[in-house]
Formats: sequence, structure tokens, C-alpha cells
Amino acid sequence: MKFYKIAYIAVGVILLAACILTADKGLSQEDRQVYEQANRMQEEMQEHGFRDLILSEYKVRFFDGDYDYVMNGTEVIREDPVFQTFVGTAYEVEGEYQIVMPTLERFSQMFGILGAAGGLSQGSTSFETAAYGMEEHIATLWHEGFHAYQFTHYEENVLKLAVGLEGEGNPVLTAIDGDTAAVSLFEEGMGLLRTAYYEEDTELKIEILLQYLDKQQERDKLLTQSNTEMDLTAAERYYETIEGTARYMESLAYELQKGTGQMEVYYLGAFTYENGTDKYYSLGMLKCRILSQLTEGWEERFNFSQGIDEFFGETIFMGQLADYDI
Amino acid sequence: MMIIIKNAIRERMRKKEIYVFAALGILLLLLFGGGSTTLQINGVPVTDFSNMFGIMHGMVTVIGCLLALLISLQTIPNEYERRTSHLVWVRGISQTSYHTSLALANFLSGVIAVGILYMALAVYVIGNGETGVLIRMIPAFLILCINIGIISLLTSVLSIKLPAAVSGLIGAIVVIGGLLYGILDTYRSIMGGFTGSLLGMALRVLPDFNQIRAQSAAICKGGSIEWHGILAGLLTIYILSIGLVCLKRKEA
Repeated sequence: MKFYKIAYIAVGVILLAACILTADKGLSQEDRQVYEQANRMQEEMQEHGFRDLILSEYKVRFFDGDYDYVMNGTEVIREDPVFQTFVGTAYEVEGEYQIVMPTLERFSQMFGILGAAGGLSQGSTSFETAAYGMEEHIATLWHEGFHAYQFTHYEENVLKLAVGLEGEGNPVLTAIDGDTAAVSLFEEGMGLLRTAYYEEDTELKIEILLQYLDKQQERDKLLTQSNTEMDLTAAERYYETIEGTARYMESLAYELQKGTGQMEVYYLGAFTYENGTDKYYSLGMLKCRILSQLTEGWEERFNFSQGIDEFFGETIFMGQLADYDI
Repeated sequence: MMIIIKNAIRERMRKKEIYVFAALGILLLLLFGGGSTTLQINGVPVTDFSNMFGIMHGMVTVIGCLLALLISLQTIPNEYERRTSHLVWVRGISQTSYHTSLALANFLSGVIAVGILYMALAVYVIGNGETGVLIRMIPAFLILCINIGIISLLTSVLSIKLPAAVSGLIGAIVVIGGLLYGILDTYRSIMGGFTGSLLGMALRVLPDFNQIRAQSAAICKGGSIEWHGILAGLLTIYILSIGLVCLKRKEA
């Protein structure tokens, strides 16, 4: 009997020890691969996008629901989380901007929960629930990495673009989304931009873009007249510039991994107007892509001192295109 | 002890509702596997084997857990109600041995019932010519038995002291919570604050049935497994077994 008691206790001790020893898994291999693979794309990304964006300059904080796993090169350190919830952003930690994002496992789970409930429709992502995997997470890492770059190199300019937005983002968006005429003009504008993107004849492309600029001017006028208390167009320019350029980099990272066809399926599929900020991600990205079609290396001239919209308009209107006489 | 276990299993197998439940489960599996359903994910029909097998394996886990709960619920209360227990005491068998035998019988009955469901899954696998998966299903089934063990033991231990309805309710909450463990854990992290802390405390005591299911499915697919979830499941069984030693009925 005594033997059975000792054996029973021993089994418990062994099980407990085995559980403790296997409990702390740290950062998964998949997340390490996401980080490493994203950094391996550096050279190709530089060729296609903003040349002075070096992803490895920014530490990446993978949040697993309990801790942040901070990756810097091959080093991984477990730290208390800077956010107690799942966010994808760039955040200043100890005087430097770092990339904050959920682990791949957590993000995939979030798609399962929130994606099904429609909770991920607010600008956060462009992927379908069942499709989110390593390639998509790498693209997201480049998106958030671009935010870290924006704030590290152009913080002053970015903050100037954000003037008037602090603490009042939602009323501004509510006012914009509530204006049915403005919504309709936005949809028409997106339609023209999409047509321009797929148009191979450059002259025709420019013609369509000029139509778009007219449409946008009409919309800006409408929004300015309909609400004199808030600067609605400034809010739009901010989101379009900051998030649109980041989405552009994200789409480039995705394109490099999955090809142009697959990228167009995800990023340039049928447009549906949604309340909130999501539409500005798509709008800004589309403008960046059209700029890349028309003028190579535009990224080197863009420093966030003006909105992407203004830069886009100037590039087309003022004959700054390198190869075309407008 | 063996006689008690044998008799208890025999009695469990006589329950009609178990067969009805198992038959419904098999029917559901055959419905999915037979291609007579139009189940879709994101507009894409799920017809290929790897997708269908994952769904069916998940179904076996859910139905199996509920079967194990149903089987274990009334064993101990019924024994005391019918005064069968007195026949055991006169033979000098201790309460701990008696309860352990009944709990073991519950577990083995659960394993047999889930095994029947697993056979239906095996038929689907053979039908698709996936003999490699068929072989891997054997260790996968053993892993899945950890879930059955936790539920059988939890319900058995609770039913020593509580009425069947109460232990059934607690068991059902644990089964649902344990199967949704991953989702609840993600919610906990999303919510944070007081609700997050409260959910975090609940998750500390809930067994992670979903993790064990995932490891079982990983074995079937030939993937690597994470031992922590399996070991944590075995530790849960061990901790619950202490209840069999400590909890006693007054009428004994």
C-alpha cells in the first residue's frame, strides 16, 4: 500500500515537472520566420518602394496575449506588453519607434473571432478570414514597419498633417460618412482610379486621372461647405497619406511573395464603401500604385510635407512626370 | 474491483440514449463525408479530404465529449440510490476503490462510445484511400482519450457529492468552455481590464480540450505536436483523481 502511495505521488510530481518544463515556449518558430523572412525581403522592397526604409532598424514586439516578445536581429527578449490588447502599430518605447503586432497564431485566431463578427473591417486588414497566414503576416509587418519609418524620419511632417484630428477623429468620420452626396462622389472617384490603374494606354490613363481630380475637387468643395466647424478634408488627407502609403508597402510585400495576380485579388478587388477609415487605406494605396506606374522613384521625392493627394495631383497636373509630356 | 468495473460498463452500454446519440453522430459524419452537404468556407466549397477530415475530427471531439458527460453523469448517484453500494461495503471494499472503479468504468464506456464514432471516421478515411492517416489515427485516438478521461473523471468526482443535475450542469459548462478555450483566451487578451482578468481566472481552472483536440488532429495530419497541452491534460486527470481519494459519501 505504501508503495502505491509513493508511486501515486511520484507520478504527480513528474507530471507537474513536465508541465512546467514544457510551459514556457517563448516566441514560436513561425513568428521568428515571419521576422526573418520580412527582413530577407529588404533589398527587393527597397528597389520597389521607399529606399531609406530599413526594416531591421526597428525592433518588433510580438504580443502573444500575455507578453511582448521583442525581436531585434536574432535576439528575442520577453518583456511586459506595451499594450494589454492586440494592436498593429508603431509605438515609441524608450525613445525609439518599435513595431507592435500580435503573434501570427493570435492574429489568425482574431480573424476567426472578429473577422466572422465583422470586427476587422475598420481599416485594419485586407485579408479574408480563412486566408491569413505567414505571407499575410509578413505583409502586415511591412505595413507597421512603414509606420515606424514615418514617425522616425518624418514625425514633424506627419504631426502637421494630423492637426485638428486629435481626440476628434470619430465625429469627423461620422460627418463625412453621413453625407450621401460625398459618399457617392467617393465611390465614383474610386471607380475612376481603378479604371486608370488597369488602363495600359498612358494618355487615356492621364485623361481618366484628370476626370478623377475633377471629381475629387467637387467632393472637397461639398465637404467644406457642408461642415464649417471641422476640417473634414484635412482628416481625409491624413488617413489617405499615412495609412495609404503603409498599405502600399504592405501590398508590395505581398506582391513580392505571391505575385501580381494574387496581390490584385486581395488589394484591388471590387471596392465597397464602408464607414470609418478603411476606404482611405485603399484610396491612398491606389494613388501610390498609379504614381509608380507613371513615374519611377516618386517615393524619393515624397517626404510627408504634403498629403499623398496633393502630391498625386501636382504630379499629374504640373507635368512633373519624367517620361510623359502632358 | 474488476467485477465492479465490468458490471458498471455493462450497465452503461445498456443505456439507449447513448446509442441514439452515437448513431446521430455517425449519421452526421456520414452526411459530411458522403458529399451530400454543401458546406462552404468563404464561398469556397470544402470538399477536399484535408478540410473535411479536420471538420469531421472536430465533430468527433465535440460529440465525444458530450457522450462522455452523458455516460458518467448518473453512475455514482444511481449506485447509491439503488443501495448497491451496501453490497460493496459488506465485501470490505473501500469507498475510494469503489468510486475509482466506477470512474474507470465511466471512462472506459466513454472510450468505447467515442471509439464507435472514430470507426465511422476511419470508414471515411478508408473510403478516401488515405491509409497513412488511418495508421496515425491510432495514437491520435489515444490523445483524444485524455479529453474523455477529464470529463469522465470530473463528472464522476462531482457526482460523489452533488446531485446529477448540478454536476451535469458544471460538466457541460466545462466541456463548452474547454472546447472554446482558444477563442476565450483570445477574447481575454482583446478585452483586458476587469472582464479580461475574470476570464483569465476562469481559464486557469478550465481544461484546454481544444489544445488536446488540436494535438490529436496534428498527429493525424502527420504534423509536429506540442507536448505541453497533452501533459497539462494528464495533470488535470491526476488532480481530479485526488477527488476520488478525498471525497466520501455520508450514507456509506
